[in-house]
Amino acid sequence: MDREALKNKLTEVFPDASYSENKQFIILTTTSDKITGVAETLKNNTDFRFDYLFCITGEDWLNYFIITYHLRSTHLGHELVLKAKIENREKPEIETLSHLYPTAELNEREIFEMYGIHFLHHPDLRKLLLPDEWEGFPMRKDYYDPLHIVELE
Amino acid sequence: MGLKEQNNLQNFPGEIHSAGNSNIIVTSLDGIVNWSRANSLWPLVFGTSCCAIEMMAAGSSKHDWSRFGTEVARATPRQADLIVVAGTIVHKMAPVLKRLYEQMAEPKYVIAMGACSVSGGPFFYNSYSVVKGVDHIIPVDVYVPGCPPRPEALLYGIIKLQEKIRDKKLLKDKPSTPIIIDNTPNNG
Repeated sequence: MDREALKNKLTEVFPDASYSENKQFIILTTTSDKITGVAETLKNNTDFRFDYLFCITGEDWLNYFIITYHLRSTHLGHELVLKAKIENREKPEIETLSHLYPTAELNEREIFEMYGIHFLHHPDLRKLLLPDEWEGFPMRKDYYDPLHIVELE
Repeated sequence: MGLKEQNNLQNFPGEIHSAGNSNIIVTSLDGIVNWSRANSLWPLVFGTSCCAIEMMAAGSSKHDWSRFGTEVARATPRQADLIVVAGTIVHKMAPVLKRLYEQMAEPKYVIAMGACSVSGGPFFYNSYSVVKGVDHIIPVDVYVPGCPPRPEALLYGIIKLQEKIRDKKLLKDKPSTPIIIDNTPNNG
């Protein structure tokens, strides 16, 4: 599906979501509580068929978190960026997508250890790269470790 | 032409005298032991990032570090004399590096290759994971800066290490001081 057709179809299926664009991707932003439904539709709807999740990224915007999913359809050749906003910084939670895309399992574990975001119903939510005894979430903006970090003035 | 020149042994620390069918070597114990050690440094196969690519280039046919007696790289620390710390060491890797170093048999030597293992390099500031210089973990003999250093710089570091080994005393060893290699381009 070409870009304009995909954009029109997306706004038709998800009228509540907000949209933006960059040179490469259409970006669909939704909230964390709707992510499972949106992702299921994107995967199973015959017009979208996003069957390949090729990247998950965490972002810390100080007041809220964003989880970014890069999706591709290997059948139809189009790509989409799906963003989910998590408002609760004290107890950030979002549903896992690992039942739809098994590759999400490891990516979500990395985001879990780096940002402290809990992925609900994840089959095996453990630390991935950091040592087991590690405390704190090093990719958060307010992370501070006076022992290991030399701050640039 | 003397026997040393004939047999391409100009650097041999001692005298070689012809005595009929065989030859007689006159040398000091320090001289012969250090000569042997310096000319058969066996490096450990150890590399953690892009410096390891340059180290592999230094070992492969184009640069060929075995020309300088840094022979076969060993895959086990039990058989290695030299560990070239080629790449970034993170806190999770630090105990592994320490164990590898301690598993090596004496005498053992360490070259810190590249900015990361010298000081943390590009990860010195604002990094939660990188060790700020490998000398926090193991003693370093030669520092080779660069990001990454070219194979020539590593070869120069190895030659400097060999000079240092030749200068050792077996029974009353001098305290070891690190060599810092200045490979900044010479503009003068």
